[in-house]
Amino acid sequence: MKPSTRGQAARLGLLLVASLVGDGCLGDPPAGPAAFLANLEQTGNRAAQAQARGDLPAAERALEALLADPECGGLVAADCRWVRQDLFGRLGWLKLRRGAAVEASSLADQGLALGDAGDVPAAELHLLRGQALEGQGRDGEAARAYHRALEINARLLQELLPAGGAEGGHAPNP
Amino acid sequence: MRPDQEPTPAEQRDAVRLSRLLEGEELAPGPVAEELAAARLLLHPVRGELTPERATAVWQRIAAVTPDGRPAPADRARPGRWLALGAATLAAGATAAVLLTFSGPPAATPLPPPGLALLTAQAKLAQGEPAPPELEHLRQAYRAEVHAALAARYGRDR
Repeated sequence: MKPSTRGQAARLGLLLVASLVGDGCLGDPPAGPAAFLANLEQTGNRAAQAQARGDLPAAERALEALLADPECGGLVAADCRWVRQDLFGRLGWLKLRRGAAVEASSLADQGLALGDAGDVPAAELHLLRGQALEGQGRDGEAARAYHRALEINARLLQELLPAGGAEGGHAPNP
Repeated sequence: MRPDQEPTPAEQRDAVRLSRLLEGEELAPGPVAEELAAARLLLHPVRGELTPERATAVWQRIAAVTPDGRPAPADRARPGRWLALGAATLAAGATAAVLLTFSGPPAATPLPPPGLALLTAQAKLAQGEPAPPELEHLRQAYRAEVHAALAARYGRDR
């Protein structure tokens, strides 16, 4: 190989490595459900700490970063729905705390667009929606949202009570 | 066969059959008889029941038969190959049908039920009461339980 050709090949190789690093193929941890859950725990904790010290924008940024992956790293769809609805709820409550009622109701709607499985995250989103709509003076819609939250709540309580109020066992995740 | 070689037993048998046929004797059904019949058809296509094209097709079919009457190797392999291919296709189709019928989407992870305290606090909020101070802590505790259940299923990278 001529020296000039070798030089070109070396430059091409460097470009390839640089593009791989730039794309995150070499630098990032491997994607997948386990990696997503680890990130969920770490970033979620960071958001909670930021919220506790009153740094709401930092908490919001952390939660928004977690919502960036619509596939949750490959979790089963129903599990991903639970996680994302919970994140939409957390983020929405933060927005509402900052007075951003419209953003909060939009986040509630985005979360509920994933489905209403009648579980805790769904109830939280209806509650959030109710409060956000109430803050916008849309009382009728707010009342309907509260009503749906109460329906879910009543059903979950009913499921809990036959066991004598004991908090044990595992419920299916619809 | 080279002229200086002795005829093989099969060649001798064929020669005997041929001489009998030429003498007007009917041959027992076999490859020689079939080949001669086809040759007759080819030589006398007008007199015969077959058109020249049909006679050629018959000859080609007979030519694909070995002297002992078995199909030529290429043809002998074909039915088995087609059978195997058919069986494989059927098996693949049946497997796909069974998988489609019984698999469905992957099952969700069984999650722990929410605690009574969390549900009660949520209900108070939904009924217009102010958010109980412990609500955020209860949410975090339940969230941690759910995340632990998910990690038990999927693992958690450290």
